[in-house]
Amino acid sequence: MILAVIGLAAPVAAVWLWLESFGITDSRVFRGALAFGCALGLSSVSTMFLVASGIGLRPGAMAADLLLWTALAATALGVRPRRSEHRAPAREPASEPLAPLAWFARGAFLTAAVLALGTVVAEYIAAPHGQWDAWAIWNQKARFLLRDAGAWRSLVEIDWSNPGHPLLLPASVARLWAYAGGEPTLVPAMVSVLFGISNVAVVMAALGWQRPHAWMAGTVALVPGSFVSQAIAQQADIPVAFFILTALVLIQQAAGGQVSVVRRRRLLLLAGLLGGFAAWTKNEGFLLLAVEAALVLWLSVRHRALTAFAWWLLGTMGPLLVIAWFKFSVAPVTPVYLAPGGSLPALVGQLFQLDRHALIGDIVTTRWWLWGGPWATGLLPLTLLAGSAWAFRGVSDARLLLAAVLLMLCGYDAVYLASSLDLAWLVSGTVDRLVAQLWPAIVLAAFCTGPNVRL
Amino acid sequence: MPGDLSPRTVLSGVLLAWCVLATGRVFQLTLAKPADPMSELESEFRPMAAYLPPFGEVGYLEAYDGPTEEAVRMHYAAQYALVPRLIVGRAGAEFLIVARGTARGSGDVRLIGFHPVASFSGGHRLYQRDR
Repeated sequence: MILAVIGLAAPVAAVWLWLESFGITDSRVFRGALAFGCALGLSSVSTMFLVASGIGLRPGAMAADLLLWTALAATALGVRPRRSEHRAPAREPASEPLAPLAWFARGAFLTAAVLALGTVVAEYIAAPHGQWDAWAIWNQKARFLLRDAGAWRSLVEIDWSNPGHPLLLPASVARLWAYAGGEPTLVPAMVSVLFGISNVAVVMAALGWQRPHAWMAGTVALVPGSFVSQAIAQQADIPVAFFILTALVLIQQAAGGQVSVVRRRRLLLLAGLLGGFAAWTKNEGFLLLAVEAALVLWLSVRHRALTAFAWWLLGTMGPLLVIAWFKFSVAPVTPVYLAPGGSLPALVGQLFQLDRHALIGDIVTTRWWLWGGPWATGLLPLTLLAGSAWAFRGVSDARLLLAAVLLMLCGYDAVYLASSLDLAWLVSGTVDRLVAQLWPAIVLAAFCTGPNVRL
Repeated sequence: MPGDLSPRTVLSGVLLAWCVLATGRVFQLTLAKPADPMSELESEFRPMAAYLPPFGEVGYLEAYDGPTEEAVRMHYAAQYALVPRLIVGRAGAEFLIVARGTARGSGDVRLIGFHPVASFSGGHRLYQRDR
């Protein structure tokens, strides 16, 4: 297991140093979260190269992998600006002595965090292989990649495992298993929990650690059992939530008025990369890419800098090339929920059938109200309302986040309407997980009471 | 200090208290969750690997009484344990996994042409096609 931790730490450290070199962010927490997400994304691509080329994840290949990341880290150290050249980190506004609410918010967060951690540990003890989709889809694919580089393509022949789902998560788990020299269930659990922690950390960092509402947001984020249990489920929804959140925060930062052209380009390049990784994690990530494209285009027009869009597009290219290889060469299958159930006129008819809209509305209303588990009833609508209130008051960050969430929800709705599967079954079976994907962004919007801190 | 407590502060305090209680309730319910059967199922199917070819298709006898959740879970567990082999729900392959409770008790016609190779913990059996 220690070797698996080394296997994770090496790319995270390399990406951390490169992010520092490029001055992407002064926030260590945000940089750490970005480094973690990018490291998994990039190392999953190198892992797929090893697997697809037939080299496999043998000890020798893993040693080369470690050397590669160490060399990248060393290179970043070489090009890093010296401390005297490095600009002083932007400090948050000097905070007043902590008010009772600030103390209470911090205490509540720490208590909630300990309880959530307890939930995670208890879930892991009860289900070390993760929830149903973890062993039916994600970890099973990881085993294919690890156990036999010659037969790994067979993974697309298991129809119940969503053959077309991309491989960021399975490749990451397989790589760390290869480092560990076995298949400890702690590895996918660790990846899963780190994505969960990163989600909460990014929400709090984006709001500013000195502000009480950052701690309140962190506390609220940990309330839904549906979110916390997903964070140990070893499935792909919380990783997707992370990529959605970080990409949107980067776009928020790029949309700020005081951002230099160079910094905006770097932020958008990274936002594109993370959007691409979302699509390399799960098909829902393609919706994020479409939403990001719309937001960045709007941003480019607003700042009269169409090159900004080009930089974002450039960021998406790497992951999109890998996805194109996977989707066209390895798993050229239509997702089961999009499999054509009839002719084009029938499909168009489906989109406008009022009873289908009504059915989705019925299920979604009930499930949203109850989402989060016991004692969290009404939390989701309340949080959405809070975000809407800030958006209507003109807080641009809340507007951007809610616009993104709304567009994502419209995308999910369109897929529901177009699907040939039993609609009630499809909506009931997916709505909770789809909300979990958007939950961190929704919480961030709800606490965007003013401009977010410069990260 | 009570004098500093504005309605907004009180409201925030109530929200935070509710959040902590709700998080605690989730923790309490999680503690009461039964153990997931996958660990046990996985360890029951894993020893079959020693009798099977390293890859390719292996047959899996579907539950005689139809696909209950338990039966589906068992099939998926066999696949999860025996990757990179493909555990297919038909009897065309050389080997056939007969998981507990899947064959008809009083002789299953689907097993004609196969002979038992090994039995495993949990009541699972492995059959091979007759020569």
